[in-house]
Amino acid sequence: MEHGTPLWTIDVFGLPVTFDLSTSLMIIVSSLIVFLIAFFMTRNIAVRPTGKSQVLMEVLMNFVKGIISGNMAWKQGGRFHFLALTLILYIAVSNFLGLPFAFVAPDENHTLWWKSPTADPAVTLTLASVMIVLTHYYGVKMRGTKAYIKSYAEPFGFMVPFKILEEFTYNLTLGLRLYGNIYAGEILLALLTTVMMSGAIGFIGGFIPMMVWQGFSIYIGAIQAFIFVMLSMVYLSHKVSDDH
Amino acid sequence: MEFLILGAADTVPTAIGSSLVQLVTFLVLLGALSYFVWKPLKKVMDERENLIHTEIDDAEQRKAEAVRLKEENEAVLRDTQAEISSMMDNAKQQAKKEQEAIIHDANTRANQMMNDAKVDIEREKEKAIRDINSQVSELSVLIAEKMISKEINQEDQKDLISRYLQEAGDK
Repeated sequence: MEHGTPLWTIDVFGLPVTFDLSTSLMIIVSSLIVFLIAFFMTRNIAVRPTGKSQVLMEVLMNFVKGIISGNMAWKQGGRFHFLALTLILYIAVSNFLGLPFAFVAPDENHTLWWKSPTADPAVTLTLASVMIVLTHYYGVKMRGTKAYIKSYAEPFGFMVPFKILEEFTYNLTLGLRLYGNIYAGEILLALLTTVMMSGAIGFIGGFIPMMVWQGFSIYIGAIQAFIFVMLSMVYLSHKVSDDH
Repeated sequence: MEFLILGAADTVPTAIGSSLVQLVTFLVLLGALSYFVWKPLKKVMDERENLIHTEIDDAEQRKAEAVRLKEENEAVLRDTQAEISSMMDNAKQQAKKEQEAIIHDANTRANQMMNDAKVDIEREKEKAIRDINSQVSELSVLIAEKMISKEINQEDQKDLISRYLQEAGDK
């Protein structure tokens, strides 16, 4: 099932930069949802919790704190707490957005407007790149340039090329894992939808697999958000910790 | 130019566009969430943690204080009891001493009085005997006058009888 993509091109200093409008829209929608949920869940916060929402947010905070402190000392990892929290919430919500429905415009291109932003490789690779760039930045900042460069030649000098290559594979695997899982989930959902639209037998036959796959996709979406944050913290700890 | 990664008709220019949007949006989201959500929440959680720490410290301090006070009170109680028992002992000894002194005094005075009484009795007895002697001699003279019907010099008779009596008493 082919879907078209709404595009909008502008020239930036002579270079054509094209924006994928549906991806951009979904990025902003996802960010807004994350912000609004988190914002309204923490309006009545107190030292003595008065509502369930504060408790839920604190559970999330402690959960992410657990991910970070599982990889590095909290003294070093505490500064990544807010980043990891934002990342896990944003990716989880993004993954869920494509599940309940997809909105396809009724034009000849079948332009797809509503989908998971994380079903776009550019988005996931951007997030992965941000994290990998941050690992290098904090590696230099917290251990010094000398120790950072030296870490490439450890434990053996001949491993330098592999180590450099590894940095790029980290980036690719981190981004593509998330993209692959979510994109595959959406393709299967789209296929099941086509099956269900094909007729009465198709509707009956496709109903249960559809429900099962949506439930499974919720699980995958949560797990992938967790894995993304977890691996980001592992990579950060490799660069930041002194004992490596 | 097709981008290498399998995607929904992604090309390099669209990838750049999506990347830019994603990057900017994520940074804005990070900033907004940090400022409006994470920071206040973390502040509250830290406050609670500090509160719990100080409360626990306080409780431990109070417990130590209570133990110290209890020991102090027990020591005071022990001292007081020792003092009371020593005071009781002293009082008992004092009372015993006084009792003995009083009994001794009473005995002494009783003996004294007995002796005085004995001396008095002795004196009275001697006096009585003397009186009796003189009366007996007078009576003897009267008897003798009557018996011999002869008047003799009363003085001579008295001497004679008292001599007889003396002799009789010596024998």
